[in-house]
Amino acid sequence: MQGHSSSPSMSRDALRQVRRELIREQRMVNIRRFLHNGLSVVGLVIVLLMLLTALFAPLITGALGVDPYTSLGREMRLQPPSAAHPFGTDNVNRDVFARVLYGARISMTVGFLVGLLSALIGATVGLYATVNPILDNILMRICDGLKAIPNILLAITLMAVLGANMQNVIISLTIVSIPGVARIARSQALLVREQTYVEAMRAAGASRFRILWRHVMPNILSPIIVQMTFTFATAIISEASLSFLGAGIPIPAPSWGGMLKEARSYIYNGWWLVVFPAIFTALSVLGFNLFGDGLRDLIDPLSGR
Amino acid sequence: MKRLLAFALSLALLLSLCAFASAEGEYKDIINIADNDQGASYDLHKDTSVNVRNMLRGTVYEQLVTLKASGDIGPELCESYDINENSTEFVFHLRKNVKFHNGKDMTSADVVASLNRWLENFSTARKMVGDARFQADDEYTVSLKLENSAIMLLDMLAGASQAAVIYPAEAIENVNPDTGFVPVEWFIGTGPYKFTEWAVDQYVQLDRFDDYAPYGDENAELDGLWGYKHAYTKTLKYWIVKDAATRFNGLMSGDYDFVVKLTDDYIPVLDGNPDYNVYSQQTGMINLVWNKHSTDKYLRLACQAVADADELNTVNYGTLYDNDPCFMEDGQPAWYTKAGGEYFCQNDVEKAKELLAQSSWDASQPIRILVSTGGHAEDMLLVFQQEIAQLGLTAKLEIVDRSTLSEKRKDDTLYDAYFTTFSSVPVPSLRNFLDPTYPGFSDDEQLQDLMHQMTTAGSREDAFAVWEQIQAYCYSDYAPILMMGHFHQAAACTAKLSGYNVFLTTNFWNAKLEK
Amino acid sequence: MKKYILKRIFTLLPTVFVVSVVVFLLVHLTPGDPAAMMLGDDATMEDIAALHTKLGLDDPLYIQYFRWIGRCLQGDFGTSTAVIGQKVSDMVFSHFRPTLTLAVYSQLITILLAIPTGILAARKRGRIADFIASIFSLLGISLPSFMMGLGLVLLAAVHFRWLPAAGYKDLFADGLLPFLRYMTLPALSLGFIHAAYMMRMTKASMLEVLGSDYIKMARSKGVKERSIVGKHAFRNALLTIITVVGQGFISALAGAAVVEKLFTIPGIGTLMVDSIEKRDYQVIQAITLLIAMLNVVINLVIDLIYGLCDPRIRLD
Repeated sequence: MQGHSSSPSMSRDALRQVRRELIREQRMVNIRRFLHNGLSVVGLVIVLLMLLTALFAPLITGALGVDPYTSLGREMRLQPPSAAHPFGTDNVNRDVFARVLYGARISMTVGFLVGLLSALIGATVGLYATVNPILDNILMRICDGLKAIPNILLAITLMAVLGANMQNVIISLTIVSIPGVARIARSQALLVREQTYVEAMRAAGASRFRILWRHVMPNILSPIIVQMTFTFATAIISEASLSFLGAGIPIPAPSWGGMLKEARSYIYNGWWLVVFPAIFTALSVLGFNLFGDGLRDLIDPLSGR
Repeated sequence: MKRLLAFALSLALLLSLCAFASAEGEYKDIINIADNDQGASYDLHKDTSVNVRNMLRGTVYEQLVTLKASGDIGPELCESYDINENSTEFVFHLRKNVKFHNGKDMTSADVVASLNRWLENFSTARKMVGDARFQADDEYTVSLKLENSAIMLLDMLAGASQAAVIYPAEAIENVNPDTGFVPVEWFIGTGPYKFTEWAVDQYVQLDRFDDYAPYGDENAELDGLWGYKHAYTKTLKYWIVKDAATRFNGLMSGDYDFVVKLTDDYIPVLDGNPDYNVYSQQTGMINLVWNKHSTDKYLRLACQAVADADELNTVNYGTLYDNDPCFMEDGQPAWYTKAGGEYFCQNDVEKAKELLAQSSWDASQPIRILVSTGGHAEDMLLVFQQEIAQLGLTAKLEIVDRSTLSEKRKDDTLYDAYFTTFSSVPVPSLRNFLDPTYPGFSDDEQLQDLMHQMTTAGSREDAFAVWEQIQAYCYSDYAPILMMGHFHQAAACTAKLSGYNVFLTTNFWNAKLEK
Repeated sequence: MKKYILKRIFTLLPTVFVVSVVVFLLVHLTPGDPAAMMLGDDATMEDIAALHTKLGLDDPLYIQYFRWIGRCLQGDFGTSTAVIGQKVSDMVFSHFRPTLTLAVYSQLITILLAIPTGILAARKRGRIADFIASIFSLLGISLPSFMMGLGLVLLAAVHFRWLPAAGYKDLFADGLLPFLRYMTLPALSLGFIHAAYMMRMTKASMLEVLGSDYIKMARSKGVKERSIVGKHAFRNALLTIITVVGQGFISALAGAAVVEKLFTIPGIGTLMVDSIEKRDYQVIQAITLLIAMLNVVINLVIDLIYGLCDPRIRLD
């Protein structure tokens, strides 16, 4: 490791300065490029709006005096949208607007945690797979196996084992998402490892652990972050699908998928029960997809379209 | 003249042919019925599910005796039966010339094989008869001799949820050794329809059995499940349609002529429309079964005092429920009583608070309630949660699927109550929740004493008097369940369907469908 | 080539092994008892326990696993416990037809929708047509299939009453017209996401080919635009499209669970969900294994087609 630091300390500072400037400039270019792509900005705005909705749902509904759990009384069953209840009321006499807003909390939490956890675990698996060919073979065969089972089927089966609640939805969807991230992390890590500076460090006797985490990891971070936004989006869909099948987050939690499951029975006399949760789900998935596309173009302008 | 005669004759022939053709042509030869679920098997000795029993009892399979509308018992496959005074000896004289769907004549060998298998598979009946088994006295006489009296045995032979149907003895011999169930090819009985085809997850098809031997008066209406079966329609096709909206749409579009389990939201659409008939009947109890090992009676009585049945039931059943306290159905006059009814869901917070004050229940601890998905019962329990909140109690709902619920409720450390519905039973001794080993564990000495008195009572009247005591005791003192009322099942059909008979379920033995 | 195929098939074995172990463990770790489901709510604990033993469920897991795998290798997938006495292979087979016909129909719709719009979008790049196509593809990617389905039901079945909201008619047993009436909404909702992907891919590969040197050459030689698009560009974009069609079948199988449940179609997805509910171990295991194998085989076939069509890719 000492081999690299042979330049005098004065010029090292100057170099650092220049480098910092360069990075800042690159960042500005990146941001400008990102902003130039209109759709990415739309995505970013939707994502931010959803996150804000999730964050401030209690405040907003509190200000309007509605609540996602309390029954408004029998005469308020299945009322169409009105000024007091902009999204109408459901079969259990609850305000749908409040439920949809609170639904954002569930979707965002599930999406975020699944994205984060699967990125962490997937990246670790991918990285360590590059260390040892035997380990690589074992890990990748397990990943292949898991990937061969369609996500939703694997997730339903996992939910049956674990029991239906939010924590278990997050665990199942994370398990389902790990193989994809691991694949990406592994292939990226293999590319990085072939590069000369890593070879040189290995020759210089740097520890395997250090090379992996200090040098390879930062270089595979960007594709993994991009993958994370896509995982976020898929997790929202998967959670909704699971809840729609009755294997997700149980009621009374206002999960969008669960609301749609209920809505299905009332499709002839309560269109609003279907429309609003569906719009919110679609919007947030759209937001994360657009945002992810923008990020990917930023990191690797050649990929994608 | 000759020619004229020939002309007249041929005209008459033609006319009569026309008349014949139109008589044949007035009705369709198939009725399409939308059912809401299929059975795991259609072996009535083992499968206890309502759908299976409703479809096949009296249709494909028949019993020695069956239920009349009054709750009385009528002979079906037997001409008559003799029971001695203290109900320890039962003798059945079988009808002759009754044929199974495979062409074989029914004899006492078939009845003995079937009923002894029924006993092997039905623990409640087995406990009642002890080691005694049915035996053949001659080719057309079957008897059963017991040590203790069993006044309810006849009711169980007529109406138990594990129906005591008669298979040919060969069907019993061909039971699958791995599972103990009768295989599909041996779904053979003596009824007016034979089991033709089961397309898994799609439909079950029943076709008329031409050699059926009817009983009763040809010109009289059916009395409950008892009476003359004509089998006017050639084919009954039971489609398996799990989703209520799909059933409803199928009725409107004409795909189905009859649909079961219509939810409350569709009834206003059909009501008043002359093209359709809608009706409903009490079919079961709505209840929260308490785990008596983890709760004390004052907690249970307090919850019973605070509960508001209307508020609870509307959420789930709309208008399809009755606030009826009886533990039996209103269609069972022999056992119907309102004893203890004043304690039924009282919606009285003050009284509930007084009761709760005597309880040793730690109010900071949530009441753990198991509920299964799919029945929409979760919504009811949310309302219940709000109701008991007035007493400072909290409830924790654990929503699981049906399999998990049936597994978890066996373990008395895992829950305090679970939600379920009970379908109707012919005699109160078959009410599961009063059994000491059934999940919920009603192992109260006083209750079990009373139960014993009822099952060993000398007469129906004595048994009924004990039954009234039992129900009153449950309401005022023990509260083994939180009884919320009875649910109705609504069914609808096109107005072109006639002749069907409604008792416990809808029976199509004499139904006709106009073209 | 032969060597390559053999090698690929050989590498499939561990994947299938992993799938079998994973699904077996998951199924047997799930709380609940098939024996209790077989006997109904009124059965006594004693009777259930006896049936449990009879079914061999008391044996250690590894013994049950090897018993199952051993039987599978002989082509025997066991018998169902939710439909007692039915052979699992018969059940899976009979439920496969609705799923397969639906998948084929939805792929047809997808191809008819996506490829022309993809080509159009590529040719009219940057114009209104392209923009509208992009919006649709964005919507397609963001709308989960069941929401698409619910939307279609709301519109076409509830509001306009054109088509039934749910139900199933078989192509062979009930005829083409009833089949189309009942299966168009499910096919659309299943295919919409995929149409979006396919449109994107078609557009991208068309653009790539249209921008390539030999097309420019052809253009400069005065070949008609129509024949450029039809003959040269499209043929070269076909590879990508084959891939997408192949993957479409996989995602149709995977998405079947939700769409079939929504439209109450008695297909493989409905069977899977119901079997989990009823703890029908053998059926869950068989379906998962089957779909996983189909998945890897379809991927293998796509790779092989690639190798055959594109001489630049060498299979060794």
